[in-house]
Amino acid sequence: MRILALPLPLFVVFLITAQASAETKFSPEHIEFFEKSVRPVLMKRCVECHGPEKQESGLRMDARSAILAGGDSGAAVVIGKPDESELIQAIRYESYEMPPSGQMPAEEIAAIEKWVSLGMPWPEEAEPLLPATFDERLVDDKQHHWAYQPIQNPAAPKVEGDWAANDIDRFVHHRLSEKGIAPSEKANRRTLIRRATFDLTGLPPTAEEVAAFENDQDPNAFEKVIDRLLASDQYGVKWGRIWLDVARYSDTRGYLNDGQDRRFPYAHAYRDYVIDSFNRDTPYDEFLKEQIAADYFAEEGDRRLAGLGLIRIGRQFLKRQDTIDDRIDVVTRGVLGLTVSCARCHDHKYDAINMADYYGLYGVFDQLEETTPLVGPIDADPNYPQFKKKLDELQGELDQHIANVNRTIQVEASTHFFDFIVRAVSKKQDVEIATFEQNELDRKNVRPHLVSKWKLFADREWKPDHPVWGPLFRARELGDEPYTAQAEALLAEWTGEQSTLNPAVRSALVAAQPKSLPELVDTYDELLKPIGQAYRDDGFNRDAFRKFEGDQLEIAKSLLGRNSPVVLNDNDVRRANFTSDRNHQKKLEGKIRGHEIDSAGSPPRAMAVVDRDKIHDPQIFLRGDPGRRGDRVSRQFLRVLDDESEVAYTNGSGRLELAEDIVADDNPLTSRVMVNRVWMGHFDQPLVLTPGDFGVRSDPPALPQLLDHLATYLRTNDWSLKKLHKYIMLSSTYQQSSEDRADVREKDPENRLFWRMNRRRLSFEEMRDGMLKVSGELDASLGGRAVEILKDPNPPRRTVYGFVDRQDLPNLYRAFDYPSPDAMSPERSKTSVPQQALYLLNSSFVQRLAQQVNQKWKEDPTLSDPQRLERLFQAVLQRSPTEQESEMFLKYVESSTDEEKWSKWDSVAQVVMVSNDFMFVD
Amino acid sequence: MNSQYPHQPESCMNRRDMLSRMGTGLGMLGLAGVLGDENLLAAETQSAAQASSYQNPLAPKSPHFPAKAKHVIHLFMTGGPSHVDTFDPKPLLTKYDGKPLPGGENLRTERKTGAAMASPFKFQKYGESGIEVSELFQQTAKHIDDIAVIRSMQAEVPNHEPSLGLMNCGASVAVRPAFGSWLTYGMGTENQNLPGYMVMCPHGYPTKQTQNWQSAFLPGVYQGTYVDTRHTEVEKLIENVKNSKLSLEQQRHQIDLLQQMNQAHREQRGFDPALESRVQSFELAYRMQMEATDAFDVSREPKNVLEAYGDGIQARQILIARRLVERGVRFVQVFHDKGQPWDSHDDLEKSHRRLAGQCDQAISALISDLKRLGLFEETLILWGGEFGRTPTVELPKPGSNQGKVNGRDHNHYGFTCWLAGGGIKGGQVYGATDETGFKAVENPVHVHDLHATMLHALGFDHKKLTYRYAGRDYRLTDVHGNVVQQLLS
Repeated sequence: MRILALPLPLFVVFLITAQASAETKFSPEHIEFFEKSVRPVLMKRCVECHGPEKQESGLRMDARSAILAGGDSGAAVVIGKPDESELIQAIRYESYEMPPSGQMPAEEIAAIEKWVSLGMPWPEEAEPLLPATFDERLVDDKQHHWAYQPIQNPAAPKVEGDWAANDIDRFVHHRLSEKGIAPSEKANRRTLIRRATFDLTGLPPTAEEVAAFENDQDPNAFEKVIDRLLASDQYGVKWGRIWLDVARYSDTRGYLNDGQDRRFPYAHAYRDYVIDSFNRDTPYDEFLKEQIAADYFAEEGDRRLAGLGLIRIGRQFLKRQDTIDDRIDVVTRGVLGLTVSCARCHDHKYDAINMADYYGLYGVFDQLEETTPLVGPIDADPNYPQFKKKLDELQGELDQHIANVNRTIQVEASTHFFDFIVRAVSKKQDVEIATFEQNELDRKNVRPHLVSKWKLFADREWKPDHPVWGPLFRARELGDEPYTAQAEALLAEWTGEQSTLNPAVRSALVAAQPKSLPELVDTYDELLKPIGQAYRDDGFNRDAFRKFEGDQLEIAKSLLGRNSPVVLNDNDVRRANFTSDRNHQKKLEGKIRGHEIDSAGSPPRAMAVVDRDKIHDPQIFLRGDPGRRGDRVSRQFLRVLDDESEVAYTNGSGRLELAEDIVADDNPLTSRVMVNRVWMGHFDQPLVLTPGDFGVRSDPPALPQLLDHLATYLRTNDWSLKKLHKYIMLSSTYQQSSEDRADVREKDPENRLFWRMNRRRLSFEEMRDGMLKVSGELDASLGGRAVEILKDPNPPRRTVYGFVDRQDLPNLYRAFDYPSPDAMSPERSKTSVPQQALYLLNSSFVQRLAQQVNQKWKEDPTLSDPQRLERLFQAVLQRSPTEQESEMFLKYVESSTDEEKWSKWDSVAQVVMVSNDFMFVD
Repeated sequence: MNSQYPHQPESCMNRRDMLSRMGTGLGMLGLAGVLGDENLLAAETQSAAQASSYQNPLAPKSPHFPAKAKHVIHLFMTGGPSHVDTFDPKPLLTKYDGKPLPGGENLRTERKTGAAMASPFKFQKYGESGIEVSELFQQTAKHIDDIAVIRSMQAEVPNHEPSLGLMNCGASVAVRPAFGSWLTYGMGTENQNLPGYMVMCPHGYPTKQTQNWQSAFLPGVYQGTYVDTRHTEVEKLIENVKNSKLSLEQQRHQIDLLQQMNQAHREQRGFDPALESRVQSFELAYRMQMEATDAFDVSREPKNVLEAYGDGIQARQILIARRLVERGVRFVQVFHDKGQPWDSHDDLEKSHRRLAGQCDQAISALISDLKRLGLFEETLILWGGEFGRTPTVELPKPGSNQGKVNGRDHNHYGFTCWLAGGGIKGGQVYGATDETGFKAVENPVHVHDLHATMLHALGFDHKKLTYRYAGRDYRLTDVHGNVVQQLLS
């Protein structure tokens, strides 16, 4: 009866459901559609929270029957009726918003809708859906994820009109037309040259440059501007800095718990190499190869070795594995846009990257030696001779210290036998041992490692009936008091007729009659002293035993033989160092580093790496724990980007092979990631919205063909970034005005289709450098060691040369969205906080620049106020003030007074310099 | 796009960032109640959702669910105060003083330790709850009925740096945002004229330095703002807070000119929230100059309040903490001193007495004062170090300690923290260490659990306060953390 009361649609549903479950026969095409377009979506987006492990809201999405059964709020799907299905409403974000982390791409939503319309085709055997195995994901992702597909070279679509200047515009225009959007007007000439100059050099143009461009009638006028800017060495400063964000550049190594100088000695060589490479327009593939593997093809003295700084300049963590992890991350996420370091502890949850992939790369970046090769002639600096003299002195001091400590330790080890042996033999607490009168050393001067050496010697070499060490073995076994108790009997045994002891030992025991353990040890001390003496006299040579004969020879041979507690290797000496010795050594090493960093004339060196001599295949650390070793894996490229062959690296650590795999023709990511980055630099917004993540969770760009077109352009134009800049900047797309159009904003509020230029705020570097330039203070010279730009007298160098301390990044940098130098930074945040304004209003630096702007004409009494204002605007904004502006500024000047050391014109200049007009690029 | 996302989290990070990064919790927030009074942008004719894309990232936001606590004061006893000498009495240590601990070997800590070491301090029961506290914190103990003492804290390793990382950022080694960064990211701050996350430490940085309050991959605005409380002049406390050339009045005149120019500039360009947002930041900055000066000037307090806190830098910085919270600052961290002052490997009696003497009165005064101002219920106070200390005496080692045998080593197996104020059920002891105080054995509370519980008291589901970075949703508690319900009121 109740069924009859149901509304008709629901009744129909019941019928269909019944039918489907009775037959569950779907056509092979529909099953294939499910497999290809639905299953991956369910697995990726739903099953984590609605599956075997968790059933949020009582719902499971891993079985057709379960979806139909639904959850707390009823059936999730009305078969055949997408619009009425709660599932569809939820993924459309009409009711619930699922998945909550962000809406699925439109294609995926469409696939689920179609699937519901088709009656939810589902293969009979696959219920519940099992998570894909790693190998299945590998195959599936390779086949389906957009970013892993080969780069296409799509033909540019035909478009109407003459707006398009090149193919970029055709791709853009085509998409805009589809949406019924017309591109924006061309920006005016001042705007264009200001945009281009900031984009390529990070600096504003001069008033003269603006005027020249405005008056240039040549149809190629803008191209000439671009060429001029690309040829400027300031180009490398701007774009080098963009790369340094990726490279997590810092001048310091990070936290040190011993108060040592944390500066890197040659980080700047990497920074200068990067800037120089951009200026030379080193092909991007070469640029990458140099940074990963320059030591494979560059000789000592070659500037390219400095590129290896990429591997070196990350944070130096207290645990080595973290440092290696950071190296893997900078290369994979920075260059490939893949988050490989997720696979350090477990297989990647989303991407088909597993621990074998991670540890394959771990093996590449782990087995390196750090070096500081020359990257130019050693005496490139004229002050080199003075530098070298002082360096030799410091090095001599260090060598002397090490030699002294070394000798002291060797002498102690071969002299104070009692002190060491007694500690290896007695079971008493050290405090008590220290009271034995036979001790030669004060307790705190007994080096623990030398005691350990004797313990080891005793463990390995002593036997109960050993002709030399037998008595000590027995005493050690017995302990102090029991030995005393049994001493008589033992001595009788050792000195009796039956004794097999070495005669020299025996006579010593006869003479000394040691009744206590310290006395016994002291007997040995006397026996061993001459051997120690001989060892010392022979220059700490273990062959000294040859000087002895007969009974003595046996003792000497054993003492200086296997597991000798007297013969010390370098490692022993290092471990025998007292903390005070070590600290002094560190202090001297610090002095040398300080000299290399701070003194003029230090040779041009860089921080680089070479492979270790012996390379082994890495082992997986289970759950990332180096104490738990798993399988051995080969060093090789990420399999999700590799062809079927999976060739293991054999050449050294494999860095060159890795670099070649990264830039190989069949790797679709490297060029896509880079053109996306360059595009972002020009449009303040990338094509792929996650510039650091092109993995399976990344959405394809709104203009996928344009991305591939640009990637193809880069690869077929010698990987030249300068050509790419020019190509982009000559497009009409780039030259659009940034003005708002309310009607178009309705259709594409985020400007994903680039219907206008995005207005962008200057970066911290552009702001500071720009203010320096308009005030006439800028020192645009290139290269060299970092300078403290924030400390008085605030050297007017470009900001990229400012000292970057990752351990103590100035508040100012953070306030202006400078990225954390602790990890590769794909893009900067854009925040607007009062600390920024406080700096611009109150810092002595900005005030100084404001005064500097006025300096040139302030004292000229012939200038009228309007003339002054004109000069000020031209200097800072390269334009005249508008009428409205003239009025407001002149009114301010009239109503204000000069202060001591601060004139009202200084206030005016500061206003213009910190205005939105200056701080934004249209 | 907007129609698909009716509920936008607000920020002046661009919206794309927020969409891809904000976790579910915040993504589900409505706009209601999240627009701070400073967000004048919405007055534009544009839709609120659009305008919101460039708003101040520190504008106040509602947490996941209503909660009492709105602010945090973290009293950080850097170096590791000894729990068996403060809040976790162990009579057994007196019994075995100088003898090996019953039950065998010492747990492995940073250095070697030997026999049991009795606490040199007297314990006494306080309040109705009768919780025992040592003489070191006798003033604080007067409030014991408002305090939840967690005697079963656990960290991961017996070393300062990783444990500081864990306590402050929820991760021993990896570079992760600090608690205060997460909280200001999740809740913004109530007073736009002051930084939302303030860190105080006199004479320089604590061990691990600025990493204790790093924002890591969160935007830089969420990083803690450090002040060296050795100074008393506000110019030395907050960078650029004072203009040396112009009076406030003259500066107002100058800013008016700037804003006129910006207004004209914006009118030519049409809708652009980023322009407007920057205009507002100058207004905020102008007000911050006055507000910050006021907040740090404790001389404005009445005499009886000053006397209640006592003398010295601790008293001053703890009083400043109250003044900041009173003004709406979200997270205030008070490090006792630079380095790791509570690290008493030797001379424990002397140094613990000195250190506690510096802060006990002020902590007590802080609680009274917050109650007086009606702020206690909305302020969550955390007291503790990065770990505790061994019940056994530390043995001297050549090159350090110089033969002194009167201190304790680090102990991460068991130690004490306490919580009080907003959302916390006071007058209770939660968990216990074994009878020697070496290891938490009853209801162990890992630092992740502490964080989860504190976030809960602040209205957050710790699993949902997330940020998308490097392809993954990160959170303060990583993949760990359980809320300890018994601690909550």
